[in-house]
Amino acid sequence: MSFTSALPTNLPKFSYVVVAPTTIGVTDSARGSDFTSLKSMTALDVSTGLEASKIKVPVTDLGSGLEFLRLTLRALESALGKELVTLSRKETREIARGSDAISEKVMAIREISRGLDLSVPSVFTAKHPKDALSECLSCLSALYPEIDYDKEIKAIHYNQPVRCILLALSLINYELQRLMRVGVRLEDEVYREVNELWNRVNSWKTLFSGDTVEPEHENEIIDLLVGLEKMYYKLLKYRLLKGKELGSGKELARYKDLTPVADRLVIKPTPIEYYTDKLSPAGGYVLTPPPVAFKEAYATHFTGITMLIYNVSKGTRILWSDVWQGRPSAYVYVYSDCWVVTWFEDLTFYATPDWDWDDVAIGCRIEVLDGKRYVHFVVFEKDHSDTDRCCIIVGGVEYCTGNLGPYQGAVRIAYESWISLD
Amino acid sequence: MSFTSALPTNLPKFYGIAVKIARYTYVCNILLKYVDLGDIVDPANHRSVFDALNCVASRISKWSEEVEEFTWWIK
Repeated sequence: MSFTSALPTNLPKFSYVVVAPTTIGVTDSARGSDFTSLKSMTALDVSTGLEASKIKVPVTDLGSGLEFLRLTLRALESALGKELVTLSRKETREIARGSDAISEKVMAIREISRGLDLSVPSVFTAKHPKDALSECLSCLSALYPEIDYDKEIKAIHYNQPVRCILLALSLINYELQRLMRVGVRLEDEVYREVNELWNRVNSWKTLFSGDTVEPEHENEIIDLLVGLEKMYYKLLKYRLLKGKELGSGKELARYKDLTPVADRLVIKPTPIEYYTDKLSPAGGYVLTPPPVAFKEAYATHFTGITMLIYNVSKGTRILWSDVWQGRPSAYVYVYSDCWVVTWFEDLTFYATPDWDWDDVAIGCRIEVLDGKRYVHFVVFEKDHSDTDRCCIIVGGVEYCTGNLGPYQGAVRIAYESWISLD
Repeated sequence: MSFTSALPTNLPKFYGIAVKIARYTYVCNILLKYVDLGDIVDPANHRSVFDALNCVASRISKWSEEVEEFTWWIK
């Protein structure tokens, strides 16, 4: 008897199952969203779509009927989850009834359309892809509190991220086309990889209530995210100078002919400027040298410190509020001999102090060096930069200050520290 | 009879060298854990997925703004 056969046969194969919701069902919600999306179409569009869905179209025939249904499907899928939280129960019931008629067709179309080239259904996406992505992320943030130990898992918790990834890819596609329209074409590899990622996202099989959530679902989303980030870095390689920095029209014409975009159009990461003047009068300031590995990571990954700048003095408590729920995520408390940074309320770090406590400002971010995570803190002198509003990304969430007021001079680094998180 | 002694005797005992399997990845400097069969699904991990997605998407949006500005100038 093998080890495996000794195991009880009724062991659950997967970690957990999507539960049937008790109030507004996942399926109902999903249908509701589908129908909401349909609302944006004209009545004629919808009826045509329904009529067309009754026509038996051969799989190989990519005629207008199937094409329409395919686009309809894409519109439904891209909008799934939208306005989910704003639907009343009455609306949801009506929507559920209304969508019953088409849900079966939609499922059938979904099977048919699998494997086809699913381009952006521009005919239905009147919204700018960026707005659509923004809405998708808003919906995601509304779902965020539902992801907890004592909460039920719903299909939309898995479907929605994939939709957002799809919309992010749509946005990339949109911008690539925009670049092509002005004569800028990137390397073929970029388009190929966008296409591959696009196909992969499209192969996601939408989860419904009652479906078993497999580890692969979570892993696939993670893989898609990894792919999306890689794509972002690839695109970042082509960060473009602002037109006003390109110079004369003659020069512009030259750039238009470049395939791919030449290095001159690539914005290289700009090193942090280490100011050495106006340091401690007593010569007490020692800038902590960054780890050696930082130099390499710096060249490839550095895209500029986003910082949260506050005028702080002794005893000041700086609080980062979480955009999801407004709950505190991290804060810095400045004591007389150190400042304490509490990170997501479960970790506390200490750092050596700034020396003069005279209206310093701080910035911090997470950096990954040699596979280890560091929090990089920078303490600034009192003169902060000329920006009115500063932001920091903490744990992937962006936090911004209010208006910091008018320009007050150059930023000066007084102190920086690297704190390992691992 | 203890619970332990009730276990099948043919359970394999592993004395091999533990091999570290890459089950983690970072997206936007956010730690994400790959899920394996038998793992207890950690909502925190799924929340991290949301965070990472939010981060990547916001980066792409910023890049999009840059492209928009660039194409406006180059026209």
